[in-house]
Amino acid sequence: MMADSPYWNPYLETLPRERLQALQLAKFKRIFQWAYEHSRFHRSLYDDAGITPGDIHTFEDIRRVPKVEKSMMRDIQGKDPFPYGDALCVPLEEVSAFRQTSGTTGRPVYQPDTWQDWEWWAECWAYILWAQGYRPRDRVFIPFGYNIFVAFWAGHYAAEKLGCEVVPGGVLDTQARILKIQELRATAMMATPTYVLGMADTARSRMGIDPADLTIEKITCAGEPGASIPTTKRRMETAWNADVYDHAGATEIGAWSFECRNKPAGMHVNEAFFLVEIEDLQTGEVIEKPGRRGKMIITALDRFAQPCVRFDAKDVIEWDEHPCDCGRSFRLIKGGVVGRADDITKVKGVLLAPAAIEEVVRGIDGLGDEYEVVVERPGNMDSITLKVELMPGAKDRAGEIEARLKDQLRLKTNLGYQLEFHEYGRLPRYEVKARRFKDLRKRHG
Amino acid sequence: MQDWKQLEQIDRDIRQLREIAARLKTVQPDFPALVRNADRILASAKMLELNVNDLIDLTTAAQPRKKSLPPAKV
Repeated sequence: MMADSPYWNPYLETLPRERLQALQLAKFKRIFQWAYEHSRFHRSLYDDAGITPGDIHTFEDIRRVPKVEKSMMRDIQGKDPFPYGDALCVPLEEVSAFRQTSGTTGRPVYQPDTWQDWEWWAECWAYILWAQGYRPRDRVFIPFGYNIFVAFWAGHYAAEKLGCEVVPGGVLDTQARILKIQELRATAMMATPTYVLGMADTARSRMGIDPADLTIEKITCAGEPGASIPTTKRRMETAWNADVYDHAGATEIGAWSFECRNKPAGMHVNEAFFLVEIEDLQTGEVIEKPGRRGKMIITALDRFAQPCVRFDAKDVIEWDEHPCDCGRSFRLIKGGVVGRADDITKVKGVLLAPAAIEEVVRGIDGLGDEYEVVVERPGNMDSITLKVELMPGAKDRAGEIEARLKDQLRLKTNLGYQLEFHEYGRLPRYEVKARRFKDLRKRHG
Repeated sequence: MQDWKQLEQIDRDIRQLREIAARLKTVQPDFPALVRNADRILASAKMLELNVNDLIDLTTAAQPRKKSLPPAKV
């Protein structure tokens, strides 16, 4: 019975490592040759580096292939063919879908997809959803503003492909979405961690509905690392009485990783469709063994309209030394995406990953889900302020909560903070990607 | 659960499916309903190729068993 299989593709997902690597190498040669022959941008990049498709025989050869930075993709936009530029590998009339990046780190990058590429997006997501227990009996509610951002679009198409019933929660507001989940008894949902917690808050505080009493059994998160941060995951799972799973993807890359039902405190890389390399943040040295964090360089092995070949994604990850008990041979990245190379910054000389602060805040009973971190340099010294909200009814424990927060922050981040306690509901709320980390030091010169 | 022998037959069937869809796409270029729907079938066939044909063609370090299918253009 199809629904009994734990794997979307029982052959690929359990392929012995040696064969999986042979597949990756062969596919890399194929996409590299495709890009070289069909994209002026890629050909010029590779010609300048003196590397051609005939030079790729081993993984060491792959490491000689120049990386592509997001800024390079921004620069080619505006060249012909409009609006994508000369990385486009197919005639413009074959492009059937436009998406763009959110612009969090600068001018948005446009992404063209053919119908085949769009099928591929949905196929990548099908691996994710099947691994997370989505089955044809599920009624999947998607509370996402369907628009130019890829977000959960492919999740929608993949859920349909699996045979699920999909309810698009597009232009509804949060309260209407909650009512629709209740009315239709939806069993699954996809959203950012910020919005999953925000919906729960709205249901409780404005509607008198306990989200745990609704029928949601599983939630797929994306867009932020929260579902891999244990304390945030616990808050979401408790709030909704549901299993929460993580997934990471990106507009320029595709849906490249997923947490399976075993919840191995990390995510599988879909290594049949993607080649992930990890490089040391400082030296660029390749990290092959578990235990060291670095930035991800990724190739989408089967995306053809605008190829993604050795893209410098700036996601910070590390390999997990332990295989997952689920039986997949796809490697795990430990703790999911732990941050962005852009976000991991030195404060008072100490490396700080904002996710570590989130883990502390959401692990303390009596604090709300929202927080904000502001780093400044008013004189010669860095100053870091953490703003948090006290939950209603926790005021009499404020002293105890503050002491615990200070201790945990010192323990987990090696830094001292100025703490600001705000009344519940005073900090900004976000619907999609939250911006809770503000580094204002550059403004101070 | 795995049946590699049967998978080889599936591999052949998918190739045939692709050939038929490719032929349908070109047989009457002035028949949009035929061309565009055949195109969609080709995109789905490509997903079958990624899941099955590539598995058979590309997972041995040695020379591929037969020439792998080129990237389909849709």
